[in-house]
Amino acid sequence: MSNASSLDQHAADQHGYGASHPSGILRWLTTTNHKEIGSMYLIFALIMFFVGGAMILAVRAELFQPGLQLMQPEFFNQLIGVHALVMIFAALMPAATGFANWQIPLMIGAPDMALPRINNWGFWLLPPAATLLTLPFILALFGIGDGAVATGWTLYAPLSVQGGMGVDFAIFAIHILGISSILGSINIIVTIFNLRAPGMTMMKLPLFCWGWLITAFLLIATIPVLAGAVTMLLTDRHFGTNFFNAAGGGDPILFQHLFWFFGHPEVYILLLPVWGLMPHVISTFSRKAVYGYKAQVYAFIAIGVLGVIVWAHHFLTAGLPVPALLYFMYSTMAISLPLAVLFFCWIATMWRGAMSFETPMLFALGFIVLFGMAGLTGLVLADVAADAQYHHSYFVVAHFHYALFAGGIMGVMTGVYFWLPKWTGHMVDEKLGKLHFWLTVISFNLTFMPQFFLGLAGMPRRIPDYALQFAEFNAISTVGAFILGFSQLIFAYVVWKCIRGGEKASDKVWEGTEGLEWDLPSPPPLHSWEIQPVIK
Amino acid sequence: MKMPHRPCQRAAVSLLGLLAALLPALANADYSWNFPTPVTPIARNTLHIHNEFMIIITVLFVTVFAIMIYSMIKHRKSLGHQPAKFTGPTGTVQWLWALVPFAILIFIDYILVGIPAYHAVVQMEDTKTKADMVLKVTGMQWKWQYEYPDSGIKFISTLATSRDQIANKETKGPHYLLDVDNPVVLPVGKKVRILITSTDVIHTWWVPQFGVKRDAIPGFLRETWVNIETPGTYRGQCAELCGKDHGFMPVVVHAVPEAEYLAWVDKKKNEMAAAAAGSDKTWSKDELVAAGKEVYEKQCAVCHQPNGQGMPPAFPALAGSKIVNGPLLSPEGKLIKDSHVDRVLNGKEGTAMQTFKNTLSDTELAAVITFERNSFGNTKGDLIQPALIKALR
Amino acid sequence: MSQTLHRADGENSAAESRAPNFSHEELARRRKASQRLAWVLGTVALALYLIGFLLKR
Repeated sequence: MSNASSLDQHAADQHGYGASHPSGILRWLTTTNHKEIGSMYLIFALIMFFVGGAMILAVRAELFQPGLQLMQPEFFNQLIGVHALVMIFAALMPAATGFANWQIPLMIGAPDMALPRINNWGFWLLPPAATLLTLPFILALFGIGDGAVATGWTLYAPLSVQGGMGVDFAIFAIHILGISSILGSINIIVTIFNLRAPGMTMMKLPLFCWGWLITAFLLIATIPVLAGAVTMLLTDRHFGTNFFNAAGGGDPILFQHLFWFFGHPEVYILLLPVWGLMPHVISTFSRKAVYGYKAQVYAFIAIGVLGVIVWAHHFLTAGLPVPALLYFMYSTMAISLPLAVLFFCWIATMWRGAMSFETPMLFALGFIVLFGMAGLTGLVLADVAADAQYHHSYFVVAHFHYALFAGGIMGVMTGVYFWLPKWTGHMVDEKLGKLHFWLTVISFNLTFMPQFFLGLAGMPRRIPDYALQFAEFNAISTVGAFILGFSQLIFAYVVWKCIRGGEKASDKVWEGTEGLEWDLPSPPPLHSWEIQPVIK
Repeated sequence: MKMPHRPCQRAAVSLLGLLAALLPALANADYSWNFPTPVTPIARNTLHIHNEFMIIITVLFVTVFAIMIYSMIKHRKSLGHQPAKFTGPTGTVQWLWALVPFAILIFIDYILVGIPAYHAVVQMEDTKTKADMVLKVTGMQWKWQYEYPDSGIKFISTLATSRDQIANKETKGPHYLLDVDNPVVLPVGKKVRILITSTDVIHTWWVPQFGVKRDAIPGFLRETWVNIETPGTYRGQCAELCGKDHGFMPVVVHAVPEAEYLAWVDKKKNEMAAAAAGSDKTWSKDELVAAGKEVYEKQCAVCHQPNGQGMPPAFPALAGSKIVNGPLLSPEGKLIKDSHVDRVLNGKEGTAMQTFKNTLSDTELAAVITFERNSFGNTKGDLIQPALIKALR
Repeated sequence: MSQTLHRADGENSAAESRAPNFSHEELARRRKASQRLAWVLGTVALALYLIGFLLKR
């Protein structure tokens, strides 16, 4: 593609992408290029990952020993809730959207996303939303308000009705983040439906795109419900409505239904892009075609559908009627089947391949094992009677960090190590990458494995101080968390180093890659696929 | 050995030193790897189910990842392994290989786990049959109220661990954070139906050794049951984030033989009768202030602070407060809306200020109001008699 | 992957033998279709949001 750069100007004239090329900050504010927007999403995600991480390290430091050492409970409650909101909405989701922006047009042979200006808007809504979320911390320093939202990320009414100004900030932040997600999702859906290269039927669509397609539909189906729930919360707080106030004929549990109708699919929203990416990585480093492509597509769809009908297993202790308990228990167990399909296909893809273990493959394998633990403990959590013991305890905290750190964040890191050479044209520092992997995996388990035992022993979650019998495991967990947190600085350095330079990456980058994007040069020109690829 | 000079070396040495210091402590520590000893049929059942699950998922985990690790060892490029070409099952045998794991999983989900789970749910929710007695639990920020409808006993149970222990100014006691002033007393061997509700936000009543955990939802009644098999003291905590002192509202249950329980009921009834008599007598200001100080420290100091300075804006100061220093009652002796007495009796909606007339006795209310008006630099000098509170209810 | 993705042409083939570029008209048509679908999806999302307020216990 030596003629690619000469096509740049041609593209600008013909399609109006970046018709003018402002420089400096204005260039980034106005860009409609999917690669530039993708990069901005990823950088934003990385920054917010460290912001959310810093918050939780403060929390873990407080929990290092019994007693209140560093902070008062009010501030502790603010940190845990904002940590979760930041990690979910401002780190993991933008990272996945960054992947989508970079990769989907490259993978399906499209010149850009279908709606480039909406794409720009989708990104630039994020920084103000993240500011709204964290601003109350800073305002409180100046004596304005009583800090950020202190209800946990679940915002359960009536606690959130009672809360201070931070709740209103969080409500507005969620609205903006929701709009951003919906714009992004719409763009991804229409791009996949309309801009595929000739010959790329839906059943030839790369699995990463399939994963994101289901995620996008889930977002469109559930974000409005969350937005509705928090709007109701807002009117309950300020305009005298009684959606969640029993004294006025409302029901606090209604909020939980609405929240988790969004909240459970949200787990799959975070994980489906990663599940989509895994087969690409595993197949590449096994030098063997993906096993069970169709089965995985159907499993994605099945998980998407099941994801929206199992929400109440997040509040099985709220006193649901027996038939509802049984329904939510058995439907939740059903999710283990499509998930097992995915695990089966991942391992079958490796089976009798020719494996090598570069950093992305290590992260993929680490992901499979640790996410496997999340899946298995999730199966156990579905059981109503046992859940009565696990629920609201550290067992659940450990479970969802195995799902969302080992599943979500390590999945994202897999993608970064896998695609970064393609994006930058430089190979990643393998030595540092492997060091980052081993430190992450070991310290992750050191952090969260003890939390399973804490939960079993009866330690409730979200408490700033605990009884003496929980002291040892908490101390271990804190040590692990600090190693885990500081190990991520290696990651930031590796990414920085790779952007700056390094060994030149070939077009294919890895020996075993397959797919359209690997036909482009590394890095791809700003405007790629001006020449339409055809898929046989 | 040469002394380390470079800072990183020094850091490494001190880190090793720290680890060496920690290790014996870690090795001697009392670790708990599983649920605490169960003392009710439900808890026993849950522990059994949990153990069974853990074996099942461990077997699944080991089997699946043994296969993966075998593949990782054998099918490596560095060993010269040539990649196969298959992308899906072909032929009957391979289809069988692909489908058998799912058949096993369905069997585990819906037979091996599913059937005991069904029975466990039914047992756990069987609150309405053959109950010997009823206990009503009300969660409120940040304490529990217990009521025995059969005998008319009603009391509040709050954290007994001192604030100094929490602030690390005092050695932590053995039951740090898991100790209350008034524990619930329940007879062993009786099926107790527990009704649960809340007055403000959602709380969760949880005693791990009972195997029950149920949310306390304002405006709704939830239920569960326990049948404690062994006498003893059982400790738990609130399990749903309920605001500032969520970590500081423990549950403590004394399970005693029936005779002992009945004696306790009699004693409690006498105490309540004595307290009720108090509301008819005329109290002096000093008596009220002294009694009020006690009530204040238990009920109010959590938010308004021991010195009455509060934690604005969420928890306003009482010292110098307009409301506290306002008039006591209207000239006709009626309640003034949003006055000091009104606030204490009826609370303030949408805030943590609760309706204390539901939880405190006439004497306690009169005492605490009088105390607040004559402390923290407030010098109203007036007092309110318990009898008047009784009339205002 | 069961699909084998390959470009129709190798790196060296002449430009004429490549598949036609998205022509101006074709791209405009696809963009139009995308916009229509985007409006539909956006409307669905908004409708879902608004329906919530009609919820009755």
